[in-house]
Amino acid sequence: MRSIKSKRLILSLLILTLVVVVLFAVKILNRPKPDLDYALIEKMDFSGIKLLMGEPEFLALAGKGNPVAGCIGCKIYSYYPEWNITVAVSDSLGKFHKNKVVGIETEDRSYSILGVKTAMSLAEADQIMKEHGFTLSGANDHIYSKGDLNITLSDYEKDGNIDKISVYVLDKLPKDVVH
Amino acid sequence: MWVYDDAITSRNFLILGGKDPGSLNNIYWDASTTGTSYHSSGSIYLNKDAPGTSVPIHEMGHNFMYNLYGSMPPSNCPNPHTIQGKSNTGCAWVEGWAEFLPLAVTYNPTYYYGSGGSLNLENTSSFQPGDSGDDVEGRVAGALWDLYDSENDGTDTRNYSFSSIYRAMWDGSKNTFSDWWSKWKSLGYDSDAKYSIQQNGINYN
Repeated sequence: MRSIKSKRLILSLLILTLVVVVLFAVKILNRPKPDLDYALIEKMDFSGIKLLMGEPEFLALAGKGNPVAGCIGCKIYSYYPEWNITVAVSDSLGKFHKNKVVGIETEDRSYSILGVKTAMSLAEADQIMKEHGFTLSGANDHIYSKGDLNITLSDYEKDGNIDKISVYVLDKLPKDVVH
Repeated sequence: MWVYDDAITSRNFLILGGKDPGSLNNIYWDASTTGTSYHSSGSIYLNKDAPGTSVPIHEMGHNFMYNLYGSMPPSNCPNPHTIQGKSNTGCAWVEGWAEFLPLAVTYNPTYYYGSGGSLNLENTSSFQPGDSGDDVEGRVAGALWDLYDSENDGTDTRNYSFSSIYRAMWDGSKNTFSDWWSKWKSLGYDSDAKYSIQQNGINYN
């Protein structure tokens, strides 16, 4: 009699363990992940500075630069005159990319970002962006998105040519959190 | 102690403006984090760079908005984003209000960041011309400031009481600055206020 009870207890524990393991596995498989084309990101190089570079490596290479006010969600947002770029390093609130280079902006026409340069016409750039799988969000804003990767082509002069290129990896904040 | 001062000062300012925005339940100071935030669970998180800046009252502004509306409007802000750049109208309203509040409480148009930088929102026409409209949080904050301040610049030649600006904010929840403007007009306030708003690249009728 005692043996039957023990077997039932062991069986119940095994089933319970199995259920917990399955639930845990489902949770892990369903957890949100960054939606990024890492191969494209790897191709974007600004004098050796790349998106998703860790803060220590970035600081060792570039230093603190000239701080620029205005970035929400940035630990560092600075202009680097030697390379003519502004770099954003994320703070520690995001889910996936804490304390990493998440944004680079430039008005310098020496940089080619996937074949797009400043001074290029927006029409020509539009074709290149679409060839790389980006979609245009906002008819007038020239913001191109591919998953969590955003490229903004600014035309401040309103002459149909690109004045500034901004590439950003967007991160997700925890639910119900605002900066 | 500085947090307590900011909390009392900002809440009293809003009470004097005509409506108690409710209490701030939990404010945490965490030296290890590099970001500051408000969690709709009712907590504000500040970091080592926050004292003496506009950041504590900014986060309190989010908390007060949550209290007044019963929930946080859908902001869906890109992370990161800039105060001078386009995001979306929901983000620009939620963040623009939070950026305006420290300016109003201290009666100073300069927003001070934890990083040490600062931005004068008296003249948002210094933003890039493409970055205008009510989907730019700095423009929304600048418009609210221009409605409140007594300095004239450009088409901003008017000023209004904080209580009227605040009334249009708290009387019914708003998802965008455009919602705020509709409420302002429906309350019978001066529609020429659009000229102060226009000074910030936002064109309303």
